[in-house]
Amino acid sequence: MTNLTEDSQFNDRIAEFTDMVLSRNKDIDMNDSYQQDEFAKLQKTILQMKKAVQLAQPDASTSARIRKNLLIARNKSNYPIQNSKATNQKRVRFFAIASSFVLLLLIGVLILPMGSSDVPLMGAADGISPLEGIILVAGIILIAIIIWLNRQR
Amino acid sequence: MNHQTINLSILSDEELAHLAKMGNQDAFTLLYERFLPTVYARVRFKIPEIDVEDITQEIFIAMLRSLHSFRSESKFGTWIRAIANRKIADYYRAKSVTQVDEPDYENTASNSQHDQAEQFKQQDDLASIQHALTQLRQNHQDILLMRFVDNMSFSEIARQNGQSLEATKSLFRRSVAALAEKMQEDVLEND
Repeated sequence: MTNLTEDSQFNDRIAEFTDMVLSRNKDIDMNDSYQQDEFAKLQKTILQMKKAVQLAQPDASTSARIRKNLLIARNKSNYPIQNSKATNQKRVRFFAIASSFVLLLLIGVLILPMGSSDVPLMGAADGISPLEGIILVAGIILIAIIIWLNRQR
Repeated sequence: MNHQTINLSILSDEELAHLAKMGNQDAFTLLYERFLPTVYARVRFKIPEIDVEDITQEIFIAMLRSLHSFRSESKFGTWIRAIANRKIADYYRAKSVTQVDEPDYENTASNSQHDQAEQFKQQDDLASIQHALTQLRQNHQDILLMRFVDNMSFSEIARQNGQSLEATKSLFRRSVAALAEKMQEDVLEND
């Protein structure tokens, strides 16, 4: 039980030391800290690790080079970020047109049969007027276009 | 433009990601600037120096490509770390290399002999840590990189790993001890 508590305290001390090292900008002098064997060994490793991370940072020229190459790659390809505004506008326009067609189709289907019942048109097929036929064909074409566009996306 | 950048800088990573998704280029640039140091350092610790720049670039391109799939409820840092880890794994799968190369001293420019010697020493220190780190178990590598490179607090790491704070600190201590051990072994081998 005592060993367990000691172990846990040791873990806390290592964690606290790491927090302190990482929150400070200047280097910590090892002589200021505890000198117990195990603890000192881990402290030294923590300091080495912190220094290594500082050395592993990109310099200004590397950072600029990666950024430039990233911009080139982005401009070459059609990544969503580049065209998302345009894509959204296209989508809105497409849905506006599609909704108008559907609305027209609905109006045609609901209203026209009532008006056309009294005056039969010459040459029209039985039970369906030419206008209804056109609207029906337009509707089928529209549905086909919507399906095709959805597949393209 | 400047005014917009100042406003953006107070936003969280997740808010910036949302704006970047909507096509805001400044938000994307700011995200890049925020995450380049950690992504680069993570790659630097895992991959031979010669390929670090390319892989870092690939990670940001992958981020660009899949930004639309990022959900603002999750942490952006976790998301980009997953992309980085995937790219690093892809790198090793493609190349079938397992060791970090020795540093390229010939390409290191310097003004004086003293500077050069100091630079070599620093490169050497970095290389020895890299080498030792890559020999550690995956969970030891992960926790060290999360704390030192990603600057995550112990509580954040505990949450991320689904562990208690105690267990996280214990794992951290064991990881530091394992790293110290490996570095010592390397020194003895080189002597």
